[in-house]
Amino acid sequence: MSLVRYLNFFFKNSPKQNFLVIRKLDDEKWGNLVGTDELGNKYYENKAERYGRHRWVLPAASVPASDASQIPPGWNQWLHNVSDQTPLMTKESTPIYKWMPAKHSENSTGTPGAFQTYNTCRPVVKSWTPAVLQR
Amino acid sequence: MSTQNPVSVRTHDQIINSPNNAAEYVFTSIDKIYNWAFTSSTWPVTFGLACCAVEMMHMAAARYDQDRVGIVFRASPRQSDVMIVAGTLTNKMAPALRRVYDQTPEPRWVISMGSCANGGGYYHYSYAVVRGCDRIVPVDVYVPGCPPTAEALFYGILQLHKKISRNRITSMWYRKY
Repeated sequence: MSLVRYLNFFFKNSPKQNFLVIRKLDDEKWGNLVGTDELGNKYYENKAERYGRHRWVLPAASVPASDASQIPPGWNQWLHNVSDQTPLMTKESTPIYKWMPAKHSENSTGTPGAFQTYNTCRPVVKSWTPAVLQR
Repeated sequence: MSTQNPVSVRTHDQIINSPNNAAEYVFTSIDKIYNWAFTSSTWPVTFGLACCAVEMMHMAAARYDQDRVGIVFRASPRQSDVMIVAGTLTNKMAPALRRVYDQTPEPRWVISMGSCANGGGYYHYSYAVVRGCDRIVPVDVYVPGCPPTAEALFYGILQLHKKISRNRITSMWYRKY
């Protein structure tokens, strides 16, 4: 009963929420807002949905800019049913180590911020500095 | 001598998204249309060599449903844009892989899937195995894992879409003249 489910959720949501959900998820979703992470992604849950569809994220980024790596590890764990506890619940009990990043960052492959391994080799291509002579 | 270039170099992303002059605006707009066409129909030729191919099939099946982003497996390299090298590339298979790559019309991309295709993996020290398919064909995206999950391969394909959307065919042609 996909159409019934769709219309049911459609009339429960606000028009603005409907627009965002259909635009970003290509489906109609309705549920309880469980939490929001530091990047602004919103996490929802609806236990009445079929198992596997009952937890989802409404990404903060626009459709072309959204990426799976924008979800912080704690929320990823909750989203994939590894744990029923959200990072909001485990905030006090999670130890903070020096090596942990202060803020979650997305995968920067293909951008100037991409990871490069430590390398002591002489560069094969030397960069050229254009020298403009005074006329 | 300093290796750092004092001239700030704009990346392809920045040039496409914020053109500086009218000519750049025109040519990057054509590039965007070109890239849109390729990102919304990247048809892979399936080069399933080993167990990674099973995960590749999972990506095609109902749960991850590659069709929704316009990926349709083609049996012929002449009809496809992407080659997914899924599995151990042996010395015996290498000429066939290269031939399939050469038969693919340009523009073409290669996704190396799994440890064996990335660098030999478990069979790295075998005398019968090519230590990474990048010794045979140029690779665009490496998907790590043994085998990578269907989700990981899908993420790799979305990364390839990002790479395709940075293409500047016509604006690079304009820059030559």
